[in-house]
Formats: sequence, structure tokens, C-alpha cells
Amino acid sequence: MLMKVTDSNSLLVFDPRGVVESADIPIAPRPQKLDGLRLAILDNSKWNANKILRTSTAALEKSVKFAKVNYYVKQSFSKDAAPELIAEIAANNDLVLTAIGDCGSCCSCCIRDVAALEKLGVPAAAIITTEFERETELTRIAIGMNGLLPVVIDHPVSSITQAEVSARAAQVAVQAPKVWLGR
Amino acid sequence: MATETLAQAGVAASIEIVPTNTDLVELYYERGWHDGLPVVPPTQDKIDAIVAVLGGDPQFVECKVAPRWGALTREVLAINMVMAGCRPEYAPVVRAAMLALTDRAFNLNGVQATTHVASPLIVVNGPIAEEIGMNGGANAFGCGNRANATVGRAVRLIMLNVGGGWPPDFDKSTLGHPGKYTYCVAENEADSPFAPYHVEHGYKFYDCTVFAIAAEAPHSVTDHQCNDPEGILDTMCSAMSTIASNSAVLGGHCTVVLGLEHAKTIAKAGWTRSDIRHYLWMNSGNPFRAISRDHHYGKVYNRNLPKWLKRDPDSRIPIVPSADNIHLFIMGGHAGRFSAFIPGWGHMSTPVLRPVNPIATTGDDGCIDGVCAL
Repeated sequence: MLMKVTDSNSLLVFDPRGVVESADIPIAPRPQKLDGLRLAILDNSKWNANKILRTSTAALEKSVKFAKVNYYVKQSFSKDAAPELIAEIAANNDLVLTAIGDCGSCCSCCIRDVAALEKLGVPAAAIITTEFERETELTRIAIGMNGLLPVVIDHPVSSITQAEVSARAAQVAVQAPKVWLGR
Repeated sequence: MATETLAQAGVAASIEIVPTNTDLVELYYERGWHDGLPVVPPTQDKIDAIVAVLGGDPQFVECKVAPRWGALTREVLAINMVMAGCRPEYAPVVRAAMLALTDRAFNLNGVQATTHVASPLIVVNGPIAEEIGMNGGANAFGCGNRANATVGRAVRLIMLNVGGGWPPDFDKSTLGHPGKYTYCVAENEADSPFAPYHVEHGYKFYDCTVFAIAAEAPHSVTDHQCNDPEGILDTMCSAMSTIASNSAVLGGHCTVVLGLEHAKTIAKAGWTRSDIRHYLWMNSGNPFRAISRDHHYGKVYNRNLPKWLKRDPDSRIPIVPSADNIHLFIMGGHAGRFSAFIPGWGHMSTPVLRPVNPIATTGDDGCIDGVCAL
């Protein structure tokens, strides 16, 4: 609430930012192990997201025996996933891997998608690129889910070779289990 | 800056008292509360005058602004309007613009964050444009008009201050464009040979509306030769058909602005708004082989085109999926055979048309394409 000050020896400075109301939202409980869990792959339909995700899944499967891998594609990389898609993924999976946050709106929406999944109790890892770490940090603060951790791979993604895709998938295979397990 | 902005979560909007010898312009710069240009330091009287126009109740939350999701109270809206240089009577337009931008369909979160150049373009229709002195005539997109300049600037300041869209943290635009300072115009209804845009979309001519679309900068379309609709519109189609725009590869919506000379030549031949939009849609676009680069780099572009488009190499891929996704406005001065094409951001954002006065509603008065309203 603003107040009027009539002191002739002073000036008023008005904050133009408006209030942010965000609760401290916890992430989902973490599993003890990954073997036997159902993994959802959420492809955001951005260029090369499918290559990164399929190659990463193959890399992950070398060390984790998932019970099942379900593949989903969302309508637009620059929009939040539809609530019904989020609900379907949460109902039928124990873990989520989504990509790719290699642009401003893609990164923001990937983070918002994993936040929505974490709220529903599913540990979720969003793959972003190094150029978007700062945006990820600010987005999770705005959402109020400070415990959310991304999987960070080298930028860029949209125009890379298959060998470069494999190198980035190796980064995912190391980081994603840490995000899901919380350690 | 952005971290500081977010750090005030949970703290009410506040004022600070400083000595009278404080340079307030510099202080607002120091706080990061600016768009690069000096702001007008708000005063209580100016804020109160704007809140009164908005209906009082300064703590009433009009909307929340992504990606920071700050609450835009009438008081905060007024503070930003004063900073932009607005007069109080502009307030209904700024509010309507923000309500359009925060409509879920617009996807402001994405528009703010994108690496693309897009910025919201606001077009005002109806009597309020003239009442507050907006310019839809000569140099409509240019400088020199207070209402155009400051309404657009207020929208941007709110996107920055309340929405937190600060480059390079939350606004990740690779290049941006000059419309990110201010991007607000009116249609030149008085001189247009066609019914206004909002009448074409079902409003009465006396209703006032704002139209918001995520847009690139205007691309000039020159045609000093053709004296018939087909010739002029073929030139426009040429401008529309580059494969370099987001519209070409991601569809969505786009804006076509016809200058008065071009519009009058087309109208003289008996063409309607619908004729123009459909001609442009039918005759612009690119063959799939151009969009797909003959699959030289894989099939990635396939995923972002509508499923119902054929993928044969010579199949035509229209710039936007429908003639209804071409938003047509008549603007500009009396002299000059110039028009403009304004590509959109793509299918990720849907433009929003909404009334300035919420009482106004679209209605069926038997007018099919708006021409009868003339």
C-alpha cells in the first residue's frame, strides 16, 4: 500500500515492479533407485530435441534398467505442455526427461513443465543448454520451486552433428540420474 | 537486475523517501527501473489521476505479468504509465493492451523469453484512438505522437518491471528490434476506404478495441508501378514469401498493413478486405522443397508445419495456415505507394483482440465482412 508523504524536504520514489506471490513449493520425493521405474520422454518438438532425447535414452539404458520408456511429444516448444498431457505423463510414469531448452521460450517452458510434473509427484529433469542456466535459475525462483535442478548440456543443439549429439547425450546420462535421485 | 526484482517476492509495492536534491531520473536508472530511456519520475498526484480513470481501488489486480508473474495492480499500472509519459486518458488503452497480452492464448511467457525478435504490436481501433490523439496516418509507426509513443512504452515498461522481462536474463532475444521500446499504432479509419479491422471482426464502429500480436518490425513494401489489386498484392506476396521469417517456417499469424494509396487502388476495383486476405493467402508461400531445404539437413522442419499440408517437394506451404490468420490494417499518410508486411512469431502465440471497454461485445448485425458498416 502506498502512503502519502507531505514533507516538503523529501521526494517519493515509487516502486514500479508489483508484488510476486509465490510459495516455496517442494520438489517431488526422490526414489532410492532407478531400476524398474517407468521413464517418460517428453519431446518439446524443437529441432533436434528428438535426437538428443533418443540418444540420451540409449545412453541411460546402458546403466539403468527402466521398466518401460514412454515417448510423448508436446504441441509447441514455446508453450507450456497442455495440462492433460502433464496429467497423463504423471499418471503413467515414475520419472521424466524432457528437452530441449536451447532457446528463451523453450527453456522457460521446459522448466515450467518439469515444475508441473514435480508438483504431481514425479521427479523430472529438463535438459537445457549452457546459455540458459541463468534463465532457468530465474524461472524456478519465479515459480517458487528453488529445489528444481536442470540437466545442463553444451550449447548449441539445433544444428549439431550426430557425434555432437552423442557427446551431449553423455552429459545427460551423467546428470539426469542425479536430478532424479536428488543426489 | 532480475534477481533483485524477484527478491522482493512477498513484499508489498512500496515507496521510498529521498531528499529533495535527489536526481530522480538517475535514481530510477540506478534501480534498473527503465527501458534505456529516461523515465518521468512518478508523483502521487499523477498516479492518483490515472487510478481514478481506471475506476479507483488502487490495489485491484488487473492481471499478472509473465515470466516474473508480478501483480499488475491499478496503482502499479499507473506508476508505469507515468514513467512512460502517458496522460491519464490513455489508461483504458494501456489496461486493455495488458489484458490482451496476459490472455492465455497470447503466451506472453514465451513472447518475453524468446530468442526471436518478436515484440507485442498493439493496434487500437475505434473512437478512443482519435479521442486520445493517436496517429494512424503519416509516419504511423514512427516518432512524433505522444499517445502512440507512450502507450507502447508503458506496455513495455510493465513487461520489464512487472513481467521481469529484462534482457539478457529473462528476455533472451538474440537481436530484438526497435519496437521493443514502443510498438503501438492506430488504424487510419478516417481515411481508409474499407471498414475498420474491429468491424471486420464483429464489433460496432463505435466500439473501441486493442489488437495485440507478437510481431517482427514492419518490412516496407514498395510498389509504384501497379495500378490494380493483383499487381499490388503480388508485390506484398513477394515480401511475405521469404523463407527467413518465423511465419514462413512456423506459421501462426501475421500482419499486413496497406498504405492509403495502395488501399484506395484496391478498393476502387471493388475488392473487399476478405478478397485481399484470401488473395494474399492463395498467392504467397513457398514450395515445401524450399522450406525443407530438400531434406539436406534432415526432416526437422516437418514437425512444425500443420499435419494437413502436403509434403511433396512442390507442395505450396502457405505463410500462415489460413486467410483469417492474416490481420489487415489500413494506415499511413495520403502520399506514397508504400505498404508493410509484419511477420509474426509463429504458431506459439495467438493474437488477441479485445474491447477497451469490457461492455463492448461482438454481435451479429447482418454485416458479413464489415463493408456495410461504411
